[in-house]
Amino acid sequence: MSDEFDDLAWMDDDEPGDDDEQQEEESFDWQKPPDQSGTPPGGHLGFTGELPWIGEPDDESEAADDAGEFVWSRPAGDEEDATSDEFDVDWLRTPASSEEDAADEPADSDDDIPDWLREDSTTPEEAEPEQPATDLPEWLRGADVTMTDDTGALSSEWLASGSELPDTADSEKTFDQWMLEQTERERVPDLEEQMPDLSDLGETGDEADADTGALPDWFLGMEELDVEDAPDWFSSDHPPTADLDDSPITDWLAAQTPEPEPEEAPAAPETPREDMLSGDFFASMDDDAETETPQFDEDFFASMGTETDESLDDVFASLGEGEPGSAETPSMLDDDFFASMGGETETDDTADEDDYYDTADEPAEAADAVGDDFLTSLGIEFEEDTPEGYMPEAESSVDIDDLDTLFGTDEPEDFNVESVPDGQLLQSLGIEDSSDEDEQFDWFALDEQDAEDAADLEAANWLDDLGDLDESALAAEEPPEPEAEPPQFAAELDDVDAPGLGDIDTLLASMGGDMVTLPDTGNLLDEDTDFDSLFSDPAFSDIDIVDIEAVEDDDLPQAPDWLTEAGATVGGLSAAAILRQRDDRPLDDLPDRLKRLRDRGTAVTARASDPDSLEGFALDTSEINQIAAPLVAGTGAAVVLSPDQQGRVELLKNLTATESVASIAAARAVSDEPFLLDENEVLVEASHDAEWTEPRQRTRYKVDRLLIALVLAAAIIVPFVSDFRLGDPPPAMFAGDSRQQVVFDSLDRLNPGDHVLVGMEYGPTAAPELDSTARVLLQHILTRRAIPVIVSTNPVALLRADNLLNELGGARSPLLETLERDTPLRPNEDYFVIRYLTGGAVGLRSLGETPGVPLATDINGQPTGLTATDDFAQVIVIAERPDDLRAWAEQVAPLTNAPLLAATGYSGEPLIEPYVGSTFDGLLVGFKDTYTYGSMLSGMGAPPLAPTEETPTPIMTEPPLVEVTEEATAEATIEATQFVEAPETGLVIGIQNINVRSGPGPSQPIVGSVAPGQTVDILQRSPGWVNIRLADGTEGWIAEDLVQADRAEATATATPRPTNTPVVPTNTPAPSATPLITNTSAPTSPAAAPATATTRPSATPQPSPTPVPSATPQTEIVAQVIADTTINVRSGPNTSFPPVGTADPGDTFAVIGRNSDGSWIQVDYPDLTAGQEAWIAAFLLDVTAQEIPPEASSGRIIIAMAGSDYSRLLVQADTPTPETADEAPTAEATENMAEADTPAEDDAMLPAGESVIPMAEARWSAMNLGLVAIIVIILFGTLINIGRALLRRGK
Amino acid sequence: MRRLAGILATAVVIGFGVLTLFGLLLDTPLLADPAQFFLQLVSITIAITIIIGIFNLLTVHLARISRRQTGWGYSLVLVISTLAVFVLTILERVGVLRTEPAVTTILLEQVQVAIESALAGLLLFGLVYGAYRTLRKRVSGWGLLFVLALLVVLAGALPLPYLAPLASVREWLMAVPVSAGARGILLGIALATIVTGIRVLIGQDRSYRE
Repeated sequence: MSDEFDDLAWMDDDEPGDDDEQQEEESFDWQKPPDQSGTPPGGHLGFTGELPWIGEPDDESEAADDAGEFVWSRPAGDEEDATSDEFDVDWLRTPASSEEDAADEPADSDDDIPDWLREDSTTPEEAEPEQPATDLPEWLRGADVTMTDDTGALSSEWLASGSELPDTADSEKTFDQWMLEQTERERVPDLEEQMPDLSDLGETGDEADADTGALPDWFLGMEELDVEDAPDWFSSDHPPTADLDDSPITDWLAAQTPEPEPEEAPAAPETPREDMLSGDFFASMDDDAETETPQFDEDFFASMGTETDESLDDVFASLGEGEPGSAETPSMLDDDFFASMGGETETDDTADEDDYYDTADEPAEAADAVGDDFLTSLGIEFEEDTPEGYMPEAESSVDIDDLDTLFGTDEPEDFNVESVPDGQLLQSLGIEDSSDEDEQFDWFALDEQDAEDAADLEAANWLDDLGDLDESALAAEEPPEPEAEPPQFAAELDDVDAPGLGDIDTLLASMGGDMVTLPDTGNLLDEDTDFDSLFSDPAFSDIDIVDIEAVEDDDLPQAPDWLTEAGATVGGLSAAAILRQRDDRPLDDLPDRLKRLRDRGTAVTARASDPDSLEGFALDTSEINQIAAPLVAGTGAAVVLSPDQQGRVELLKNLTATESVASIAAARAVSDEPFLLDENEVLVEASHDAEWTEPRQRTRYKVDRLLIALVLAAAIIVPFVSDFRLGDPPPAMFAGDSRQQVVFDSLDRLNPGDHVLVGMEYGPTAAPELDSTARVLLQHILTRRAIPVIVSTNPVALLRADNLLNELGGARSPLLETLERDTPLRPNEDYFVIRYLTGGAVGLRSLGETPGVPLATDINGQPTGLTATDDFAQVIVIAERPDDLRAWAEQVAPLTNAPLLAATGYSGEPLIEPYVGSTFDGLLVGFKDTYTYGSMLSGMGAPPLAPTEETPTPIMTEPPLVEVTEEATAEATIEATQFVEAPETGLVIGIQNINVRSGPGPSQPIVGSVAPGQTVDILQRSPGWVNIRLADGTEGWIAEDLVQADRAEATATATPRPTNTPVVPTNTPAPSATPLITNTSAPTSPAAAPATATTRPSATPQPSPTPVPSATPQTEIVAQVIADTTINVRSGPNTSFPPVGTADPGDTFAVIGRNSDGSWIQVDYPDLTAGQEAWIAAFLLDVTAQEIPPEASSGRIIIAMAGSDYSRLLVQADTPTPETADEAPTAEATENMAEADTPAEDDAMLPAGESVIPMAEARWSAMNLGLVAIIVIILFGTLINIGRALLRRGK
Repeated sequence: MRRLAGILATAVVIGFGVLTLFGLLLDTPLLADPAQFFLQLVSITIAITIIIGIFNLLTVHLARISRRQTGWGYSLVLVISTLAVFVLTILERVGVLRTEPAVTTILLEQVQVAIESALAGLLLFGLVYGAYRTLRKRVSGWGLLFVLALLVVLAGALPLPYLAPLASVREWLMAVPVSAGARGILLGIALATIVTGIRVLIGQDRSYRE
């Protein structure tokens, strides 16, 4: 079973990094283009690369074991003359570095390089160490500074000069030019740029090209090899014994080189080359490069026509392409390339015991190999059973029939390509030289047969298999016996007999006969990298950096051992090294932090009797470590501390080195870590009871922090405890086309009974800001007699919404009076609080897709009877976080046709702003909009239950007037009384049968039961209980919540109530002073009936009798603009009507009429054209009645305002009793109406002139005052900090 | 076996994901109905996980109390509070406990909401102090620009007539650069959502196997 799934590598997340792009990126950091020629002083000139292996695991730890890593040195070309010998190391020397080999080596090996190679950045001049690098800036050469002193160590002056920037005045190139070069070099070249122009080889007619026979570049590098240094098995006719074990190939390579300490010879670090050892070090190793066998250095690879910052794979990949840019170059070549050159292969099962061949037999697996892609990209295809294996068949005339001739000779000792004269190398290999460019270098192109063979072979990861070769056999002097069943590829190598081409690892290892393995430097990028320990590695024993230590011992100040042992680092540098070399650099050049560290280190040295010992100190090193343990999270020195933490640790160590426990107190005085000091105190008390005395406790207060808190608190509290107010209040209305006005208008268009879906998506943390918003919105909805349906993905928000609605619709709520009802709002009838929507956005999506499911039950688990979102007239979301609003916009809005509105706080505004206008039709933000909204709600009355025409009733027209008589009043009273005595019915709700008890209370005996859905008569009510009569005549009590009053039936029996269309007869020459009531009454609920019964007209409206002229003064309703700014006067009772003019604050207009709900007032506005009307929002006006003398009367006479919002004005206006023919009853009627209507109409309106938000003005002022305090604090702090910065700079 | 389970999980996720995706995209009952059913399953599953989370929370803290681990006193308060609210709510629902206002309402509004609101209000002091120290470490051009923009936005919100020009600047800042940045963030969120969805649907992201 598991074998089947082994192939499904893409599903195996156990393989680290298989789907982690970041890890992939990190694994390729080493391929970062190295800085080549423009390396600034201090930079190194080495080249570090890693040869990746096919099938190499992504895990870096595994890769470190399996991958071969190499470090090449390159001739630095400068500053190495004086220190060449001192800085040479054995492990970087090749066997050919002897004088003899150097003598055999051409003086300038680059002569064999064609011109197109010399066009690269690596010029022959650069490659010659003896010639100064002319393209290097002057400052880089350090000509004025002697690199070494008399002792041969690096001079302090030279080290100090390393950090100096180039003097652009003296240099030939400016810094910008230098930086431009660096940028260009770091740029990854395009594929076409990487491709060598092979056509030039045959066209230029260059003699050198002709001489070399246009050898491939890499091949030129091979002539620098000495086959004597190759492993014996490699140069022999037979490959080594194929004893495979699990040894990694790197171990095998290490076994090939004499290493001083094999156990300390891991692979080289895979780090970017700029993070390798200093340039001085590598430069020192290259001074004798001229006399040594050239290495595989950067220049060599640069000469291959690619940028030297490319990986080895890229270099080879570029060679493998027949035409520049013809195919995509894979990033990994390695094995495939060499395999393609390694000779013939056999794809049959001659060695099927190897996993390699098991894998190779699966073409599909082979196709997945990286190298296969590369070969495929080259147009190479493979075919099985080709005698020549996958050796490329030249499309050109290059004769490669004899592979042995091509890749080597039968006698490896004779293979020294350097000894072959230029231009004769190919001939020596048996390759016919040809000047025909079509026939050049196409030996990579393979026919299909060869390609298949190669695919099988390369997919087998043969290099890994080679790595499994028996080390002892490979390390033996004598080649293994050929009859030792060599592996398949080894046999192929045998056939090819090509030294050095089958395995680059072996080849490189053969070059380093006396190499030592690189020390384990780890990741030099780590902050805890200590170069001291690195240089103390035996591999560096021959390097004169040891001499630096010697010099330090003699001349330079020393760092105490405990500091060295502590391994403290500052910014990646060893603190000990900084202390030792603190005199190496001018003190002024040091950063402030290092200066302080130096001072402390100096103080330690001065005060400590023995800097290398902590004996006699108050604390020993173990205690110091214990003290530092909390700082390093208890994990010891291996933890990398932040610079700040390191600084504190160093401070503590330095202080404890002062031989006094008083240092602890000093640490307390400068440290912000009371926890640390507490720990410290405990330790000291435990070990130094005799010495330690508890220092006096001092609590440090940050005065500025305390002051800021006090100022803020005072600024916020003052408006609530005083009458201090700051700033103008928010506008009394929104701008006509604002997004806030859209919210108001949308809710203001709701009809009684409309359902509004309200999303309450905020928790207690946003309650102070959004509770007011939710309150005004819900109040507006309820005022419109609409039904809010509360949903939320936040359970706490649902609970709070339930509480808020209980408060709004409670028994003593003004809203009930506005709604003209005396019973509290009932859940699942007047509003709904739906159950908690789980899953956040998923829950909202479910609400949109299948609304019947979540809407079926309320927060208490009771059925609601709601079905679908399409029933909602509006959707409004009150959210704290933008994500919640976004979820509503994305999950709910597309599934409903209802307009979507939003309300949020200041923090959520920016991210929700983009949705406004597209998804959200309107938006309220913060307390400011809430304040304005509340102001607009004030004075607003509830609409009539029965919908009426929205068209305004012009007051100037002839109204149907009725005369209120005493009889009418009496009759209305009688009817109202009769109505009250009429039985009320109700619908039993619930999910199961309900017990009917004999009295109001759960402890009363049960007298029966009633099923849900049954209609009962409601006889009377008691708090929480209802006395009902069942259909069978049984009377009893059930819980009030379980009976839903039958509104339809009650409405049918309700008595019409005069409302809402005040008519002011005007233009009547002699109007009657008798108040008249129109009959445009609307039915109302039985609950409201008693309050309005006395005003109910019973008579059919009749035309008014002939008015009797009267000399009594008349009253007129006028409206004064109370807004604090200029307002628009519109042609209709809505913001959608165009403005016909403006009105300034304080302007007074005569009232002509109003719309049905009284939210807009029609005024007598001057300068109107014929047919135009002038309307102003009611909340912007202060409507009063004023007496006008008869002679000044405009003819407008208040006749009646009964049922209107302005009926109370009759009471406010000190109108004398009109004298009419029927004076007595009229006066009585007026009095009755005033007495009856005043409370009723006052109750029918929200409090006018003030916001419905509690303490709105105080909150607004607190917010403004707090803002002022915040601005002052920030401004003050900014100025102080700028001043401090200037002072520091001045110092 | 573990790998088999992983494969099965991957197959289930991909299958259900693709089905839900097309069910939501295509208005075909054949696909839309299962998609809606899956959404309901998710909601139910999450609801169950909440219950499991509650029990897990109690279990962990009861264990801390029993072992007298550090901070077990806080755990004791948590357990007692949880159980108290649980019991009180049950008593209210069955009608045994009748108060006006309800005890649970008092606990919610006077305890939980009050404490959470107060803690949220403390954020103001932290933010102001942070702004006060913005340039303490280093004075840079970007830092100055940030502080300047902050002051302009705050001052522009003040309802003072002589600060009306700043209000216009504030409006511009909010309408142009802030809105542009917000749109960029939203686009990034959208792209990341798409990418994450695709990764899950093609099996590249298998966090559900953790």
